[in-house]
Amino acid sequence: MDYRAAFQISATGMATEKLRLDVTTLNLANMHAAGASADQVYRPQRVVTQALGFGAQFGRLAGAVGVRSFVVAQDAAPRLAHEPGHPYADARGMVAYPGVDQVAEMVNLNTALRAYEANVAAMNAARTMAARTLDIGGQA
Amino acid sequence: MSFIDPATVGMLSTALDATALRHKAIAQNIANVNTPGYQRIGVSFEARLGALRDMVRSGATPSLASLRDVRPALELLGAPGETVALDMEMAALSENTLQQQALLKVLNKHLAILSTAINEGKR
Repeated sequence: MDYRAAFQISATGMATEKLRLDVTTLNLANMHAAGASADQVYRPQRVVTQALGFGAQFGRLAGAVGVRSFVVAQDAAPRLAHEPGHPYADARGMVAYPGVDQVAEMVNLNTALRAYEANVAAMNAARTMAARTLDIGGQA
Repeated sequence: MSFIDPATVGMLSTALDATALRHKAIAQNIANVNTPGYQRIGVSFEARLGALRDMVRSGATPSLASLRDVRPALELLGAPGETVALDMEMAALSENTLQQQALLKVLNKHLAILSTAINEGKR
């Protein structure tokens, strides 16, 4: 049995969770970046995932396996704050900030971290299995 | 009973294939733990061993030909969109790894017996 697929699956999982972490960090970093107008403000990004390699050909894992991820911009309404002295303030003294949901981002951060760890554990298990398989017929 | 029993090695290889496939299924479930609408996959293998088990219980030695139908296969588990329980997957992962190591131990013992027979009992 081919162990490369097992490593590939865990690697795509780790890449996805790392991307999720990056995107969450990006959202948090831009949380207070005001935009010159409401439509120029930073839009929070979100990672969307899709399972690969199973479903179409039922009964076996085929082709690329694991998980595929995309980054999409969220359609979150900007947060408006009344700051008349701000250089980006409009006629009514309102400034547009990105509609980043801080609580959701923190939850995403922790979920991504734990999921990454789970993928690392799966990859370590695959490594152990492959290493033990190499010992078949050795002096046990 | 013959020492050179091809069915033992054949059965152990098939069971090892099942653990390798099951590892892939569990890794796939873990990689997709946050994928919306994902349906878990698993491996059906033990359930296919019924006929073989009856054969062994009645005292017969399974032949290589009887192993042909016993292949591990992937199957869908649960419902689409059902949450993947990370703790259950991790438990299944370690159980599967331990099972693989137990199977490898048995295979090594079997090969050691063959080696003893070949060397006429000498070390």
